[in-house]
This record gives sequence, C-alpha cells and structure tokens, in this order.
Amino acid sequence: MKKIRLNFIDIIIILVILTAIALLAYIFLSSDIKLFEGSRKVTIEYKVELRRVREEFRDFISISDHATDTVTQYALGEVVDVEYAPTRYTGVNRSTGSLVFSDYPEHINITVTIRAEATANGDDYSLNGYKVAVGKQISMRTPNFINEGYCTQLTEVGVNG
Amino acid sequence: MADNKNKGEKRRHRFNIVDLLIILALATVAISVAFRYNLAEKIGVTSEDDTVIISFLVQDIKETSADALVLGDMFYWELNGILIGELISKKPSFAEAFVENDEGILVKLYNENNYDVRGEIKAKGKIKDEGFMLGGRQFLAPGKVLYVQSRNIMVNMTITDITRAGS
Repeated sequence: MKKIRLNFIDIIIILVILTAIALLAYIFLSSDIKLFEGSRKVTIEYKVELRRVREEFRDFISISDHATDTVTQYALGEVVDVEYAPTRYTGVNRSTGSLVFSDYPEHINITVTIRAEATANGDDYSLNGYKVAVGKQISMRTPNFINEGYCTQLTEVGVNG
Repeated sequence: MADNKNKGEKRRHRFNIVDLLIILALATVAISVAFRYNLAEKIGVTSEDDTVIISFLVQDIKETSADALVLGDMFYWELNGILIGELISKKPSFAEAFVENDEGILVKLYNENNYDVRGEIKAKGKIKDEGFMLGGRQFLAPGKVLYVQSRNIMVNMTITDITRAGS
C-alpha cells in the first residue's frame, strides 16, 4: 500500500477547501444572513429630530435639500418638510416638589422629514446599505447645516417594484 | 557588416510593449507620489475659488482665552491640520448661562466671569451645490463644531454662518 505524504502545498489546499466549506455552511445556516428572502424597492419618509438647536439656526435647512450622513457619506434622501418646536425643559418647583415644564430659552427642536428610495428587507429598510429605523442616531448634513439627531418616525409611502 | 549596422539602427527606433509598460509604471509612480504628498496643493493647483466669511461662536471661555483670539492669526482645523483662514473680527460678551430658578423654570442669565466670543474668519474654498468645501475638499456648514488652533489658542468653535465674501 502506497503511503500518502502531504507536503506544504497540500496542506494549504486542504485549508482553503475547509475554509470555503465553513464559509458556505455559515452563509446557508446562519440566521443573520437571509439569502432567499425577497426584497422590495419602496419609498419611505422618515423624521429626524434635532434637539436643542440654537434658535439662530432656524431656516438653515430647506425643502428639497439633499441630506447626507456626515460619518459614512451615505445619501439619506431629500428633505420634504421641516418643522420647528420649542425645546421643552423639565424642572422641579423647589417649594412644591412638582415637575415644571418650560421652554428652553433661545433653543428649538427641528424635525426634518426626509424622503428616500429604500430597499425593504423583511426586518429593515436600507438606503443603499445604510440602515434606517426609528431610534437610530443620525448625523446629518445638508448644504447649509450640520447636526445630529434621532429618527423618530418612519413610514412607507410607496412601493417601487 | 553594413547589414548589422542597419539592424542596429532599426533596433534603436523600435518601441515595444515593454517600453510602454515601463513608461506606464513610471507615470503611475509619479501620480502616486503626487497624490501621497499633495503636490498639487503645494504648488498651488487647488480649487480654492471662493472667498467666504465664516462666522463662529466660542462659548464660555475665560477672559485670557478671549484675549488669545488674536485678530490676524491664522486658524487651523486641529483634526486634520487644514488651514481655515484668518481671524478678521471678534466680539466678546458675557457668557450665556441657562439656569433653573426656584420655580423650576429655565432662565437665561449672563456669567460675568466667562465670555462668549462671536467672530469671523476669512477663508477660501469652493461653494458647490452640496455646500461649502473648505480648501475645495472639506465640507463645512453652520452647526459644525470645530476644534481649532492658532499660534495662541486651541478652542472649540461652532460655525454659525458661511457667506460669500462681499455678499
């Protein structure tokens, strides 16, 4: 009977094959990767709330501005609405001990509504790889303003195919 | 003998694929070096077409720090060393302070021990559709907080406006 002798190249080939098998097994068996789940192209609108912004920055974001993530440079979509509200401050009345709500002087909350084409993948919405969901912290920039806030609402407004 | 001479002359004029590859390799190296050391910028071939006035706010600093914002000083973005521009104006005022009163309502007061400083820096860059690009390559807009340095101070400043110079 012939004795099998493994050389260095054989070992590398075997390691490559084992790695490939492990990778395929992970792809097919992992619950994190959904190979066969369908995706849909949809239009979404989501709101990003920028809190406690100095009043002087009012009107720096305009309708039809294009928003971009300042960290990843992903395109976030087009601004379709901008709302302003006073920033609320919660204090305590020291004599009665009750909560008191007042406006934060010279500061506002800005809620920006952004419309974007997204891919719906069962669990999440993706803007060309940028996942967006309620609660996500978003560092955004438009041509005249930079700030960061949280996504507070997300709705699907159309299906594109 | 004459044939050999002719062959030698012909060889000298032939331009083959290896020569082309060598030239391409040398060109690639030259371009790579130019990119690596920002040679275009160093010899002044940049896209700084527009002069702008960057308005800023520095909050809650000591009087000595306010004094260290010296008119004429050049300011640099500490993060990447990019030149922002020259400080051309400054206006210190007592620092804003937001304090909760006994009724629990937040009120605005002024802290006379500290200062807020508003000022302007004259900078160069490119105004594009997507916004202002400092030095033609670094996006800046109101709301951005920059850690900046001059020869006299290192401080955080919030950009409050960017306008084209002369507008």
